[in-house]
Amino acid sequence: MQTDNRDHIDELIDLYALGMLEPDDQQRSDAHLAACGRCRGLLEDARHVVDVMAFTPEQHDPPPDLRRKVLTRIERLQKTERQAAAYTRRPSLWARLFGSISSLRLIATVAMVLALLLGGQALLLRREIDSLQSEMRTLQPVADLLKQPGVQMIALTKQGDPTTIHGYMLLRPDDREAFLSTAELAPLPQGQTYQLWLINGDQPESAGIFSTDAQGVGYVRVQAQQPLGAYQAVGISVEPAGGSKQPTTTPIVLSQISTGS
Amino acid sequence: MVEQDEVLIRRLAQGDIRALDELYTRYARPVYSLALRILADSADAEEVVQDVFERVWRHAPSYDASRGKFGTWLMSMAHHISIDRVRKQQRRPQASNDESNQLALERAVDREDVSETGLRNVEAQQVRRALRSLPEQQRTAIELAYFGGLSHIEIASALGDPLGTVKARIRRGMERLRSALSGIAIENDM
Repeated sequence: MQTDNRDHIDELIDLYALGMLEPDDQQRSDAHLAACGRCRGLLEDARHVVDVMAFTPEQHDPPPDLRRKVLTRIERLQKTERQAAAYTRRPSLWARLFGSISSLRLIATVAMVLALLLGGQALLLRREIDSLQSEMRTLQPVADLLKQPGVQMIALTKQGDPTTIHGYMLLRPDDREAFLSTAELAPLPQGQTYQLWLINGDQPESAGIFSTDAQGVGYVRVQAQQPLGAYQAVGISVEPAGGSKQPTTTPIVLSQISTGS
Repeated sequence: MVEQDEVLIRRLAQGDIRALDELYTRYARPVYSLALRILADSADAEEVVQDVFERVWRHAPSYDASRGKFGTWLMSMAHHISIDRVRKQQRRPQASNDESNQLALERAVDREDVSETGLRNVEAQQVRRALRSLPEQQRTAIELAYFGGLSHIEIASALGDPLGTVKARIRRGMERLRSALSGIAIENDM
């Protein structure tokens, strides 16, 4: 029973563990739990019960062919990713990239000629080419980074739900520069921005602001003050336009940077 | 020699697909059973199993044993994926829809249980027994939350009870489940 501990959140702990809190209560609880070891202990006990509940349903054997389906799916994915990795490691990638850029330049030249001949339609084509070239310039640092040894990929997971992934960060622990791409982060209304934080101890350090497109995709070239291996976590919060010195809202993404071998 | 889950996940992170085969042997049944319980559809439950093991494979390199047991992590994923799927399929009961409320109740409320083996399953048996022994209203509220993915507001609406009453039932029920796990008996209430 609560007495003088009016700030504790005993009444919310079980609902929190069951994932039932409304957003306001969730935010209040997160803020309190960050600073209260007693309530974190209560939450741990409640979570243990919830974890065990996953094993309580009546047990059914999965269909016999499901194992084959699972393994076939993973083998296919494994093969595809190995091919992709081998492709990005090939030295000829650069020749291919430059070849593509040369091709784009050629197309651009042709487009310019067409622009003289066909006017507006060709100008539209030129704009599309410019857009493609811009996209290639954006992605080139990723290709550069992937060529380096010891590159690590950190999954950016939703705060409180480690199974929902909102993107990945590519980094080398000794570097101060990294690359981050997001997925399914809804575009924000005017006046708000996403802000990336690198967290060392209890000290969040801003690593840039960014926006996302209609598909929730955004790219950030991260510039850190220290080598990235010095940070323990990476977070993303919603901040007022222009960003904040310190996070002013609960991070929607919070992931540990595990750089151990 | 039986390899621990953590050893298997390390092997999987190094690309050894046989480790995934072994993890499937150990966990496909509880994952499938949980998904079936939540979704009440065997085809949906099969898809959840495939999604879960794909995520295990994808996240094996970043799995950190110091942050929790593999089985807990895996079942948490299975729960999240199943609940997300229920919500996307709009099977959640709406406040004004008595028929769908009833379906959610029927889906979420406990059915006959069977026993398993292993330490985790001893705990699962304790919680099962404790769930069965709860007053029906407490049990229903907890099961609607966990297996139905409903918020306390939605549960109050589905059951036609005041919000405060639903919260109190969940707290009392959870307290009894905690006690069951810690081996402490408490007196009946409600």
